[in-house]
Amino acid sequence: MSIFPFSAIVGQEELKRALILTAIDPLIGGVLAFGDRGAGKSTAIRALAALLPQVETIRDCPYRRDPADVENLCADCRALQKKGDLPTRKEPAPVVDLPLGATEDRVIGALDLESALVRGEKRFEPGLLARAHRGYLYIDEVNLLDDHLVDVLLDVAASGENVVEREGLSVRHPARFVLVGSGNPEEGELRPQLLDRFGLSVDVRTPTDLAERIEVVRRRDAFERDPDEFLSRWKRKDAATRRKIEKARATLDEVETSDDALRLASSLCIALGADGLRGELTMMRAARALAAFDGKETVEKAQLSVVAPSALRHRLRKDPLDDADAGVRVERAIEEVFGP
Amino acid sequence: MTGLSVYGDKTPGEPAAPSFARGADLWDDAVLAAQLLSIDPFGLRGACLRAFPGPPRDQWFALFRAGAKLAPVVKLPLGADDARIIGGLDLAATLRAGKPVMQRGLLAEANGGVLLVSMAERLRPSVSGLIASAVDLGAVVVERDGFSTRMPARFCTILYDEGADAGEAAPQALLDRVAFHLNLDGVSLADMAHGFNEPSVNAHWDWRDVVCSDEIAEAINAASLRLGVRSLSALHFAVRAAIAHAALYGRASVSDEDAAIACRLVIGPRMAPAIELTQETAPPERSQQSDADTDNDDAAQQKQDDISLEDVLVAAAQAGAIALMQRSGGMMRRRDRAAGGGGRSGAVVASRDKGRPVGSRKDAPRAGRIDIAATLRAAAPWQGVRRKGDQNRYVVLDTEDVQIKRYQARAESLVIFCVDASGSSAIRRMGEAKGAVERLLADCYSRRDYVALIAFGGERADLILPPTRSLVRARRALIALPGGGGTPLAAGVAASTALADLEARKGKTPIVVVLSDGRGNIAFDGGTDRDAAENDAQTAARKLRALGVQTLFFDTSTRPSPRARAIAESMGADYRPLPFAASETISKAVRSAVEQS
Repeated sequence: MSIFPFSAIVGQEELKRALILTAIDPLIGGVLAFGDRGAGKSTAIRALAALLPQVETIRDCPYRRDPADVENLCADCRALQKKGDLPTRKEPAPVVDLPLGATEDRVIGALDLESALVRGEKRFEPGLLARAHRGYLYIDEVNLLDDHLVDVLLDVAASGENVVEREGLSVRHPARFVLVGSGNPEEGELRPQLLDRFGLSVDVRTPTDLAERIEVVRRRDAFERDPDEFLSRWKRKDAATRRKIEKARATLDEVETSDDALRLASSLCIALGADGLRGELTMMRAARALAAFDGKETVEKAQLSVVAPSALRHRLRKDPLDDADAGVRVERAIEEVFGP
Repeated sequence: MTGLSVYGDKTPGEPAAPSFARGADLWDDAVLAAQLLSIDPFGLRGACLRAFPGPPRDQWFALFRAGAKLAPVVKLPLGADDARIIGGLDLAATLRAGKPVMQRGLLAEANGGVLLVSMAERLRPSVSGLIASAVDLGAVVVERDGFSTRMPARFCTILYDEGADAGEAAPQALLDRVAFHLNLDGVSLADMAHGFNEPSVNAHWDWRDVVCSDEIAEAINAASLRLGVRSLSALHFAVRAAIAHAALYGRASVSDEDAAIACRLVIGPRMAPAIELTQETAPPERSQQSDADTDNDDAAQQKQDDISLEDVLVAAAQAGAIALMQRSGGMMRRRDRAAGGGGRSGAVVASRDKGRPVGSRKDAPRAGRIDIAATLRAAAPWQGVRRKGDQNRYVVLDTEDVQIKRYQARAESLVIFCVDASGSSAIRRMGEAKGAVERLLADCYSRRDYVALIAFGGERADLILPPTRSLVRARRALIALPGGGGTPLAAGVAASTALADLEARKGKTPIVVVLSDGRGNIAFDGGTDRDAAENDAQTAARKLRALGVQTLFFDTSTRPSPRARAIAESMGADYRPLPFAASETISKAVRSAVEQS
């Protein structure tokens, strides 16, 4: 099945930017895309895989561990590494779908049925959390996800580690991934704890601009008529974006954050009464990634004001008497704090 | 643009917005939709048929099936669980084969064919979510019972919607994903004269050979935006329907007529009920005659040709707005009939103390009710090993296998506000009710409560806010509130009773909160006879009591009134005089009632 190319997606700039920023710095911690049905939320997320730089992994490691992450290596690998011949390879970063209706055993991993049945062996079959390690875990309709799966996710997303104690198995493995969720707020809100796990939150609206709408429909039509031709037409643009992401990743550590920018970020959070430190941290990280992507050497006001709505809109305290949309509240505060 | 008729018998110059189309027109439109759907079943993706079971629905489906020639037709029963819908471990086959055998789910079985969902109005959100993601992906992603795979699932979805009133409809998530929303309610046997059109020449091109020009796509887009239909999928489906219609008549590119028919079939039924015929949505004839003085903002920059096409499309769509939802008058009658008949499911009582089953989990055998099937499934992998010692036993269970059924800890509650929107103090009362709704929703994510609001005023009761947990949706619905006029208290209470009954059967625990001064002056028949109004209000109140749901009555008169107290007693309500009903007081009282329930 062919996937609609990222570069061919019309509009949705905030969502596309949020996804790119997490590809540059996964520590930003996930993207929540909430909004209108049929506006292309899941299309954008599924297209992301083509943009991700490859990851270096230890060959034959079932959990695709990172050779550079010395602390988390198993004993065998560490011994090999000391000798200096740990086999590694590059592979595509995973984008894993967590579908509605998934059972707990497939999410956290469980006994391998095949080997238990045929050979009578107890073997651990890694689940989706293991598969998403160092990549993305995508949940469409995240607000409909079963409560006990949400509990599992909350724990793993916070600790970066999956601990399995069931069916006589005892396994722990790293599971650090960028959590991406999408959904329609009319079908229910998210638990505040889960909301907090998403670094950035994007409000997706159906475009109303005439030309933009026509372009969306035209491209979808072209894609459905002849997917292969359409893909080859957009492949180069996707590749260019991927190179730009790779470059931004390489320069990310060199981007400076001025004291000025830090001060602005804190005053913005204070002005908004945004909960906790997480908003501030995410905003700084996202602004840094954006600066790297744009080829800038320091984080400026410009980057902060671009990423602030995504970083803060889901961290404002709900005020039932304020009718304004959260994004609008953030933009108002940016104007007040940052000045013209 | 001359010679284009939207409905055959429409007189030129007459604004085209029939709120109830004739049965024969409904039927002909439905048949045409079936024909377009059979030309491009996977692009148009399906249809929702709003009708009770009967010959129109059966014949429509027979026509569609014969035309589309799709197989198989897979029925998705309402009670199907996730395992059956998505697929999972085939228990019997696994035990027989001694290795895991997977059973395909219904969605994968429907691949290449038709998925038929009857009683779509009763689908749980989690199930409609499963169907929706299969539709989006053209595949079903299985992550269950040790299987991890992806199976093709491209199908055409037919939804049977038997909703009896505005609050009861197929899930929006699915409606948005099928091209046609058809209404067969009111089609008689005599109306069903026509079958598929038989174009004489070049019939049935492949839709891929047909193109839609940018001008026409733009006009469809402009028309749908003007009618308040913003959804991109609606636009996409309208263009695809126009292409299918052109293919039907062997045209290589979409004509104005194809576009008009697509708008009638796709855009019209998606219009919100309240879009009114304003200056902006004038009928086509007027703007044609006065080409020179059309100074519509968004039309001004376009070519003159497009202005008229856009207007024609708007009129065509309005002709298709067959009041799919707007049934507030008929609502009460229908529900009363349903309640009087013997078809009650009786789930009202059961739902309250058990809640909804939500799968099973491994636990100690005494921790609850054992889920036999899940337990056997858990034991299946071990049979080979365990049976080695004892070949006489069929299945060897261990305490480790035991799976316990889980129920939702507390049935979700639904607070139904029934608010008096009549007379002079309506605005204040509605304001307080709105505040209370928002307060309740603002702290409800952890508790999963739903809120609905029915307002009565003038001659009728309206479901302003269908049951929702979403603050966003509540705000949108409550922006424009009606007010003024007489006080149809009886209709308001009856509408609340009907909604409470309906939702209780879906497993929720309803609580009715009435905000009124108890001075009803409009009877069920819309008459203003005071005694009749009083009588009807009493009757409605007793029916609400008979339902046995918890009820709160806030008397909003300036001083406690005996009439309000009498009505409250008849409905078995907890009566609270509250001359200065503040939203905070109301939401506090309601919250404590919810916690008791």
